[in-house]
Amino acid sequence: MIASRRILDLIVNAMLIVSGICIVLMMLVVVADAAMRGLFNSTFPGAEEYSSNYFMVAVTFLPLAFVHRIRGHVIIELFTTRLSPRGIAGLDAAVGFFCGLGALIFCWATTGKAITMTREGEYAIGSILVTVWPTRWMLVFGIFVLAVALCFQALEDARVAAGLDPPRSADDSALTH
Amino acid sequence: MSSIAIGVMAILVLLLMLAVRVPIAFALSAVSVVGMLLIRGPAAAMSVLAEQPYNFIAHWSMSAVPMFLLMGSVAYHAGLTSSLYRAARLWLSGLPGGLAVASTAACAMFAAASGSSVATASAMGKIAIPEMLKYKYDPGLATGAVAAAGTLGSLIPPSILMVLYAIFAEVSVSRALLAGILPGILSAILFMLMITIRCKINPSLAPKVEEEVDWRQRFEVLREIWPLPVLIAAVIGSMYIGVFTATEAAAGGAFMTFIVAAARGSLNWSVVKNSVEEAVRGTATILFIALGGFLLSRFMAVSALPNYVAHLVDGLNVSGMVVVIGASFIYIILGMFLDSIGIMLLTLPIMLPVLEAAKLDLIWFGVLVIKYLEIGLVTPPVGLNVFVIKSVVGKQVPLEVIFKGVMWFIITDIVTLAILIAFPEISLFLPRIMN
Repeated sequence: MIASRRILDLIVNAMLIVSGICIVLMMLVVVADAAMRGLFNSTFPGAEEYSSNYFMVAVTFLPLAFVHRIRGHVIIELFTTRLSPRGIAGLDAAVGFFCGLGALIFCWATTGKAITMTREGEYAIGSILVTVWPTRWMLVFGIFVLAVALCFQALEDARVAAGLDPPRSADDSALTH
Repeated sequence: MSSIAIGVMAILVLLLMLAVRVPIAFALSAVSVVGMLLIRGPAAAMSVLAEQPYNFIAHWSMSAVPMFLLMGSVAYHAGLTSSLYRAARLWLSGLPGGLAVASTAACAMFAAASGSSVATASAMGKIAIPEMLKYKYDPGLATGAVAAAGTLGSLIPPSILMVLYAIFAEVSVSRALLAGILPGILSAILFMLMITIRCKINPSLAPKVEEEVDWRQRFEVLREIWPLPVLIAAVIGSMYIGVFTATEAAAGGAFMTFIVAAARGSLNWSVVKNSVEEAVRGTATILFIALGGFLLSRFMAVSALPNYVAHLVDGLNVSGMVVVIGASFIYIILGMFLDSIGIMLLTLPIMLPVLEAAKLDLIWFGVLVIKYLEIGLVTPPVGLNVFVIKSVVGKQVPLEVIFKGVMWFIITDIVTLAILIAFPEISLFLPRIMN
């Protein structure tokens, strides 16, 4: 369990780093495009296509598992405040498995689309042709790792609910409203 | 079961899922896909799931969200916001309730830079509240001022909520952002006015701060904070004169914030790492919820529920003003229990056709929606900003005192709302004269 958690954490951290690089690249590409337009009446080749198809997809989908790991997905806590820590862990375990299953279905649906787009060699047309089918796989990968992270954390919550592990500290609690 | 009945059932199931701690993004998406499956069958539902999320996210106008988040996080981590409270204090502490007035002004500026109400309340709360309590300010006033003024970031550009609203309502992002400027400033001024009047009438709320401040100190502190207002003005100005789109202005703002931080010697590896991580985390969280909202809007369109509601409202032959007032009640009630983005994305699919049928200006209504959501951030029982302030002050101030202190600001917000409803030009003037 600990070894699997370490491997998952490594993958999640790597995805976070890639998305961090992408957000900085997006800033630089958009600024370069605007500057070239203002100064030389020209454009940065493929700025809109790279920003929309590559960077936006990476910045949105690759960090999802990290957000889940820090329990950063927004939840409403108001109606469950009276539950015991174990009761909450049990509820979170059930919700985690449900969301993990949903993420796997999402992953399955997008995999089919990614295969089709890869076969067709999907591209976007701007000032240049930009091959965009690889970004379909970013989405698939991001959601797949999210599904694994959801199931993993659900398993950990289930152990807490069953009394095998102590309840998590308040610092680990989710971003809530 | 008819598609409209499925739409109604879906809303109820969605609320139930939110109540049992299902993350908002998952709840919105799950209900939408299952609803589409029931109405159109599994092939159509899977097709929507396979295609729409990618198409929704891989969109140019969406890029404004990560760029504004990056700008705010760099400004915060590089310390560009750290002198705001001192500057506001040196300029405004002579007024009745001066420290609370200064806190409100500093919150408005910080909120404009960070775009996050929670970050504003948390950061300014740590600086301003201990100072006010030290000078024996009424704890309700001290905590209420920061909790309420922290919400101003939702309206004063750059506002992430406004960007999302514009995308969903299919109106210009730049115009929607500009529409928030005057209402945001009006809200801040009315907050400050209310504090001053209350403290003038009842001086025990805020004992006068005895300290000598000369003009040299006042102008010196401006040298420390000038980059931030200049950056925000440049971002807003470039959109206003039509030189840049919202995304370009946001990226330029983020880039210039890095440059300013580097020029001040406050840009190091830790600042870059923390800023980028925070921006990426915020982007993924917000846009995943937005994606759920987008799927919900698609499902609602398929269920025909919004058109049914629009038809129903149209049949009542009520004026646009009645629709707006009705919407006010719905938003304020939902704001007591739900998250801001969640409320917006949950209600817009149903609300937009009703507004279009009533021929209401969607940019004006966007300003009102954001104002409702601001109020929701401080209304009991869930007011998120109040809990943020509670976590900052610990046992020093009880929760009920903070909620009591915030009530004055909620009343002021309702007055602001009434003014914004009565005079749509306050919101629409700048977008109308925009280049």
